[in-house]
Amino acid sequence: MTAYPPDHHLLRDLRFSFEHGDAKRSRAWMPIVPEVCTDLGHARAGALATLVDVIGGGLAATAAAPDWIATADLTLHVVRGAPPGSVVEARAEVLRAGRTTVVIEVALVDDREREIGVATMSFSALPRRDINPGVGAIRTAGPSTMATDTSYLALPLFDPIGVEVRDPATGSIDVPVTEWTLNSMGAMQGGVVALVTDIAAETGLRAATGEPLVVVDMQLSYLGFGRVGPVRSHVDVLGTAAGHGTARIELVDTGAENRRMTVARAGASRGLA
Amino acid sequence: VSAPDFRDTTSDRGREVGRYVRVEMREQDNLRMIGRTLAHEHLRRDAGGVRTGALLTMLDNVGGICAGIASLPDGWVVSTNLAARILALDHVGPFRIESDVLRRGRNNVVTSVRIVDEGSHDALVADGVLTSAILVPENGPPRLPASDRPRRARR
Repeated sequence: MTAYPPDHHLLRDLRFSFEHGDAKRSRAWMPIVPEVCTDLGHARAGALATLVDVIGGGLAATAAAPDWIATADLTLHVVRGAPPGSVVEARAEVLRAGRTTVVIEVALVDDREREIGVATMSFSALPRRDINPGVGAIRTAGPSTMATDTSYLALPLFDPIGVEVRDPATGSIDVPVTEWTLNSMGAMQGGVVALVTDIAAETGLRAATGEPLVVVDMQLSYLGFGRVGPVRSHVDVLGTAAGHGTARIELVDTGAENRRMTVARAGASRGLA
Repeated sequence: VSAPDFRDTTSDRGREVGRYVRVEMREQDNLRMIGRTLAHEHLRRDAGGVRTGALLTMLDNVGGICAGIASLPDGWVVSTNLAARILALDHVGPFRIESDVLRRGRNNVVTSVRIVDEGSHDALVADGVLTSAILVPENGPPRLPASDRPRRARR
């Protein structure tokens, strides 16, 4: 198989770096740049979820080896805003590695050791296939990075992932499946799915409340891959109160007969400290 | 919906918690499960609404049976992840608990779960997702006590 990720890829442009501990722990870092932030000035939940997905997925693959894994669900609670110029560290730990399921917890802290958030992920163990990367390829010894000399985000994440807002009232957005956002299985990467969910929820909840809400926690159940695209969202606003909103989000792959990809719940508020 | 009977501690083994919320279930078409129960006094907080733990138990009850039926004929399930949002803290009751299969994989079943308050114009009380791992018990799926066995909806 060709090397993953390719030279021009979201995971490189987010400039993640890694350091893997024993087989049950890994750490990763993401520099916070304005392009990954909301208009309220701190890192978008979906961007943090991408960091969580990458470090959690790599650690889960190690825990499940020689089998491979598929992300089943991801829950993220953001408790403090990470502004541009800061660095968010993800500390991942295997909570359970069973025959069919791996559970990972990821603590997010900033460069002053303040808690930014916490995430939990579950993975289903699957029989290894030829197209799956070897664990050695995703877990190198010592510090490493996905970034190259030319990796950076030139525009806010909305732009390069190609968000097209169809109907704000229903949180309906379309996002194409591009090589820039693929996972190693040739489908939309799980962190990008979280990012699309975040943007859809924010769009729907802002339309419902008229307030500048941003997503502060989300729970995603991954049901199927988005291989064709465009991926389309639908948001049901479950409840709103002053400065707060809750929504259910569903993503389908319109190019695959509207196959249901993900269902999610998200909570949004006016911002974080 | 009958009131719970806490005196009988010998039957319903394995479903001791479920008996406190006493959900009566009905199996619909398309792997859909509908449960109904009252907003029992013994489940309420001092402030009046039903405790979140009790609401989660209802979701787990109905979502778990829905997932279990989806895993038949050989398998049965254990809950591995329940995530829900509570949207209303004051309740009238009775509650209707709905669950649908979102995905039935080789190793797990994902079901949507929600509670609406029929006494409050079907206001949404809780909404979430239950993930259940499929097990294949040596002696086959459990035989549920009659009180917990879902009924088939009339066609």
